Amino acid sequence: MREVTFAIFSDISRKKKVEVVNDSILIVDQIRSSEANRSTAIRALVGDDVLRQKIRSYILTNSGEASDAETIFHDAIVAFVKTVFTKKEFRLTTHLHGYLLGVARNLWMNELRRKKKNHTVSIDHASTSAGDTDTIALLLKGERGKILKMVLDVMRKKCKEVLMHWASGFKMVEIAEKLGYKNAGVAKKKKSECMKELYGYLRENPHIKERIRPQ
Amino acid sequence: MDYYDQIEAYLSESLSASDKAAFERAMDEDAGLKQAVADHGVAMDIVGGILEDEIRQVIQHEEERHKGQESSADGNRTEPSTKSNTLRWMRWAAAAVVVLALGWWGQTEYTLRQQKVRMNIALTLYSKPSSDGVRGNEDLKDLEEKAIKAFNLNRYEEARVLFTELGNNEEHKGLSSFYLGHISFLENDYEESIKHLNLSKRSGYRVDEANQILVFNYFILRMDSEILELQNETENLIIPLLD
Repeated sequence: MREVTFAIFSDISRKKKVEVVNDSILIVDQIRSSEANRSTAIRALVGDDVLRQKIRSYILTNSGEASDAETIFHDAIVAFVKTVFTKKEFRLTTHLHGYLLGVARNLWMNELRRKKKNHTVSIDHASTSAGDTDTIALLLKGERGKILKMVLDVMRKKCKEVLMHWASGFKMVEIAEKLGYKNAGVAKKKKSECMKELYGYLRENPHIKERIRPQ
Repeated sequence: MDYYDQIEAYLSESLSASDKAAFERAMDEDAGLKQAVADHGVAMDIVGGILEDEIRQVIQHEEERHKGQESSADGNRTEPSTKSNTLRWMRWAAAAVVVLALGWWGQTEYTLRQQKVRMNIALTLYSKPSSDGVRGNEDLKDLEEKAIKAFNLNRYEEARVLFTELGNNEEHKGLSSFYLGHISFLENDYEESIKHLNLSKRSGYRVDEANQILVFNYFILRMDSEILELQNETENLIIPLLD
């Protein structure tokens, strides 16, 4: 029986409540279970000021600015949730904050390399367990991201759900169970229909193809 | 296996060797299929973005909610008293201006409405009994009766249609124009009313009454010189005055 401890405290200066999820197992389950629970987990992470402050401190002491800190904080949450959702074998073996700080450090190092800055970055090997996290292609950024988002906004919610699960490696049986389809066959049919719709949309809008995946 | 399933199977390398070779031959022969295979990559990029889009939307929404809470917290702090007094005064002043403007507009509208009611009463009193004996066939007579009945029952839309139809007959043009002019006046289409009434006058149909309605139209449109002209044409015209 897992024990879950929730610490709820009020931030007196900002007058808001923040829910801190101390149980790593619970948050992983939340992310995998349903869209609603996933949203709850994401909101808890966004509202975790302690985590935000840790990442911010790291970025600011390593040639970053406040805006960089906010970006990396968000990107770390995105990367974490995607990893949990798409990799069924993933297990969180350290404290959540430690893991996310490791993700943020990897992301920031990649960003610094990208910007070609020369500086020394201290890495606390003991606290990072982000070995699972490779360079994560964060798709929804920049101009390409805007185009992608535009296409996603056009897609029906049901299609997005089934395609998202399929792209994340879920089997049709699992998709059927999670999304309430009668059986794997129905889920597969739904997925095919949705892909056809997407192909059709791309055929009608060839300029979008060129901008998402330049030739 | 359908078209798209084949593409996916090919790209995920789950086709048998012979099926794969057949598929590649088909691609060489069919430019459309080749394009579809290329499009699949784009489609997979899009599908791959669904999860990330969902996560970022939640993050964005949550950050906006936090910022909203921070702004309202900041707003609760006390402002310097002189600044708040000035703002309060300006708000009251703006409210007063709005109330006055509404009052003026309302009064103007009410006055105009009052005038129109009096005009209608005057028209009723002024109008001589109609002697619209129509000589013609029974259908036209029926049509005329229906149209006048609809008008008297304030069913103006119906009356308009019937009078328009009646106006297609040359003999009834004057009558039709007169009633259409009266209906237009009642429906606040003053310029249309003037047009119809002038037509009816040319036919010589109920000229004095047409002039009376014209006076009312000219009064509302502030066409004073036209009113003076009509006074020369018709005696005992009722000229409305503002109270």
